[in-house]
Amino acid sequence: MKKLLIVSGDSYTANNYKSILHPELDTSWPMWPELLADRLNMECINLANEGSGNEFIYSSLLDKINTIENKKSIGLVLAAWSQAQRKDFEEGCKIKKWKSYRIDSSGDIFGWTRKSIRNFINLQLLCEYFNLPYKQFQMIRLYEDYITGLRPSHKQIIENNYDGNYRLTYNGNKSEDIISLFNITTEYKNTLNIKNFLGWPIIEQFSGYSIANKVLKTKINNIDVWDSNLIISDLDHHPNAKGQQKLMEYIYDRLG
Amino acid sequence: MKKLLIVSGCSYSDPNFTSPFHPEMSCDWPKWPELLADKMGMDCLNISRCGAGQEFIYSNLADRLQSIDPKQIGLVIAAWSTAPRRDYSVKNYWTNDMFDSRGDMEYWIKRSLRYYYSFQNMCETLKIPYRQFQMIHLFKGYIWQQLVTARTKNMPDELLKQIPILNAKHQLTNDEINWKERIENTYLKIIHNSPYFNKINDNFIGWPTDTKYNGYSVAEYKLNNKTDRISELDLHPNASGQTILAEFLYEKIINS
Repeated sequence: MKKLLIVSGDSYTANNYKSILHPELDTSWPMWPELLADRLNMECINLANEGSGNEFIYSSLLDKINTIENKKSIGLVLAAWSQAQRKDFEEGCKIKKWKSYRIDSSGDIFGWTRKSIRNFINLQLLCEYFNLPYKQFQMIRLYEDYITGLRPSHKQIIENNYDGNYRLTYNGNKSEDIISLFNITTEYKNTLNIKNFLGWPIIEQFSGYSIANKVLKTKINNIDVWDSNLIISDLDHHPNAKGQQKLMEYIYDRLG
Repeated sequence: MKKLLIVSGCSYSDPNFTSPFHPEMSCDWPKWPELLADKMGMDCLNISRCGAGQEFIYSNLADRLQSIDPKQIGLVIAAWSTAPRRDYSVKNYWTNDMFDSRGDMEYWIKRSLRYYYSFQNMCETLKIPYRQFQMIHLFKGYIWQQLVTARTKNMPDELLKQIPILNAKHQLTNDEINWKERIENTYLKIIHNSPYFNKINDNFIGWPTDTKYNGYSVAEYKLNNKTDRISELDLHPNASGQTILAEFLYEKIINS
C-alpha cells in the first residue's frame, strides 16, 4: 500500500485554484503536490486552500495527522507556508468552513510574523513527536511583500482597473522593519530545525528564499522578474502547468 | 537554585489583577501561581494577563520555552480561558478582545483544542514537566451572555455595564432553559467529536472540561460563590479563593 504525502498551503498549492483574472482559463493542470506524490510513488492528500494563511495551513495538517491512527502510513508531511498577515477562521455550516482575509484587521506584521513562526515550530514538534518525515518552506514570502507593498487582490485589480505595478501602501519604515522582522525570526533559531526548512532564513536579503520566488523568477539585467513561461500571466503570477512542474522538481531535489 | 514554575492564564491568575467594580479595593493578595510555587519550593514566573485568551496563553508559554533552559524549569502550567477571546499584539504589546469578530463558536472551540494539544505536544517533545486545565468554562459564559442579552431590553454595549446585568439573578423560562441546554449540548459535541478528545492526556486536570463528560473547569468546580469570590458583582477569586485554587492544584499535581 502506498504511503501518504500530506501537504497544505495556499493558492500556489491548492488543487481548486481558479484565476479570477482569467475566468475562461482551464486551470485543472496537476499541482506540484500531486506531481510530487507520483514521483515519490505516494498517495497525495492535498489540504491546501486558496487564499489561506498560516493558521489554516498548520491547523489543517494538525487535524489530518491526528485523524490518521496509523502514523506509519504517512510517508512525508510538507507545509508550504503563506504570508504572515492573512487571517484564517472557520464559520458557518457549509462543507468548506475555512475562510480567510488577506489582511488581519487586528495586530501588526511583527505579531503576525511571530504567530507564523510558532506555527512552524508547532508543525516541527508534531512531526518529531510522531517521528514523521517532514519538510517546510515559504511558498510565498512571509512578510517582505507586506512591507514592500502588497499587490492588490485579483478582485481589486478588476474592480479598480489597477495595472500590474500598483502596490498597497505600507505605513512603516521599510528598511528598519525588515531588519526587525529578520531579528524576530532569529529569536527562534534554537528550536527551529533549519535543516528541514528549505530556504531558511526565508528572506532574500539574508540569503534565504521563498520557493515561488526562487523557482518562478528569472534574472533580467540582474533584476528578478517573473518568468512568463512559468506563470499564468503578467497579472496573475500563479504558476501555470509548467510552473507547477518546476516547483515539484525543485522541491523533489531538496527532499534529501 | 530553585527551579521555575511558569504559569500563563487570564485574570483569575493575573498577579496584577485589579477589580473594575471595586476600584477602591486592594487586590494584592497572593494569587494561586505564587502560592503554588511556594508550596512546591520553586520560583514563580507568572505571565498571566487580564482578558487573555488561549492565543496569549499559548504564545507566551511557547516563547518562554524557546528562551529558558529546560533544566531550569520545574513545571509549566497553562490555565486556559474562554474560547471566544481574541488576542493579538501591536508593537510587541499584547491586547485582546472579549469576542473574536471572526469565526463562530465551533471554530473558537476547535481553535482552543488545537492550542491545548499543541501545548501538550510541545512540552512532551521538549521533555518539560507540565499541567494544563480549564480555569473558566470554555463557552458557558458566552451562552449566558447570549441568553441574557436576548431577554434584556436596551442591553448596554459596554461589557463593564453588562456584567451587573449578567451577574444578577434571572428566572429563566422553560423555553430559555431548553435553548440553553440544547446549545450547551451542541458545543459539547464539538469537544467530543474533536480529533483531540482522546488525545489530551492526564496532564490536563479536569479534562474534558465539563461535568457532563465527568470533567470540570477548575474555578467553577472549586470556588464557593458565597465565600471564595470577590463579590456578587465581581466573580474573580478573592484571597480565600486563590488559596483554594492553589491547594487543589497542589494536591492534583503531587498525587499524579
